[in-house]
Amino acid sequence: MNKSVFIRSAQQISFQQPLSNEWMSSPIFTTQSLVKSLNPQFKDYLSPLEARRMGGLQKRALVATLKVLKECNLEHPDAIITGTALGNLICTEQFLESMIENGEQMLSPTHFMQSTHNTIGSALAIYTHNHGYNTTYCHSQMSFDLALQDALMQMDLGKISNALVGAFEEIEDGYFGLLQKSGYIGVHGMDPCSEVTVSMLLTSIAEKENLCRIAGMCICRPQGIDDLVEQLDAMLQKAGANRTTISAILSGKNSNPSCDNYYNELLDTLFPKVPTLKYKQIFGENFTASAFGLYCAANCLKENYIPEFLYDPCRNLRCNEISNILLVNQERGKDYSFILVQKI
Amino acid sequence: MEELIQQLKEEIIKALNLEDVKPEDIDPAAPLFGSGLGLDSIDALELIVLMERKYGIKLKDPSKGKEVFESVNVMADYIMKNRTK
Repeated sequence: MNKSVFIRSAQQISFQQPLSNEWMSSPIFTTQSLVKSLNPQFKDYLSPLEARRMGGLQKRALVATLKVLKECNLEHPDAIITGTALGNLICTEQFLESMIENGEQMLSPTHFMQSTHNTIGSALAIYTHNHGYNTTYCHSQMSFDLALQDALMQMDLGKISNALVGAFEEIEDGYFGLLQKSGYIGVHGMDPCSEVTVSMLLTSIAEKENLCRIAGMCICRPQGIDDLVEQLDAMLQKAGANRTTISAILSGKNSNPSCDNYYNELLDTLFPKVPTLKYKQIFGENFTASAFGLYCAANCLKENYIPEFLYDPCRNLRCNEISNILLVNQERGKDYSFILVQKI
Repeated sequence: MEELIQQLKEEIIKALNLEDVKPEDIDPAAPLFGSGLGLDSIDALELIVLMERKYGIKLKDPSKGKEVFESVNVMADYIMKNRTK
């Protein structure tokens, strides 16, 4: 990236205290395999009339976004770019169930409106009267990363100077059961399956309130380890860093061996002496959980502090100084995403 | 008729997801659109679905909706005269 891009504000709603970074000092841990989000008081942000055509995920997305915009004193972001793998899953299921029950007749328009993947991005634009670029990425585990990359590329090209980027996911028992059967989540000893709401504002303006700087990013489907190393090193070099200057790595490990093995292989090969961190034990796993990783890293850099519970127990290394964090996300060892964030 | 009006109020609240509105808050003679509950065109579609699903009434002429959905009282009267279930 040629231009500097910063995270100005970021908010989350998860099973931690919503719209707060209390998780840094008082994290909530759980032994459940499926955990729903702790909802904020929606009535503090939305009137019942405004909220009545919104599902739970839509309300969470809107409230988190409103808080981000308020913190930035911004009414209309230049772009709204979201990532979601499953979209408004609960509304979609309600719509499909109604289709089956009523023989594809007499279907509720509200459930139909709520059931598309880009409903949230559209709702955010309608509510904030935003007529700018609006796109939703739906690419499984890479959905959020692609949304972020889109924003960074457009900012780098000078097409926009700020962007609202978010990741949104909800889950319910039925779909959880299907994902569990596939071995993706719900494996014994694994971090919980959760719902995702993360909203953040990227800006090209350097301000003291910014959380961190996004120094580089690359998403790739490498041909092999050599190709992967080449692409990672090229990204780091462009960002003025290299593998020896990384303070810590925040990975998407989730305590499921079928997932963690890919991370372990990569980290042991490329970063054997770098402290590693993980976040899914407190934010949970879902397709766009990598947004929690970026939110988490941004807060750690801003506070200049890494809570002990974030350290990966597999590696007994601690950070002396935090100047940057490399985020690693991968899907089945095929697709990889690397994001380098720096302290300001 | 009173029983139908009460049932209709409950069905409207449920179909339109009118949180914080109780059946007793709805004046059966007040306009449903514009003033009163302040419903909009999407609500009109929801009411058309409700009429068909719950009472077996298919509004073939959409322009008739304006007349039928004037108030809860008018809706109840129309249902009484045209219901098939």
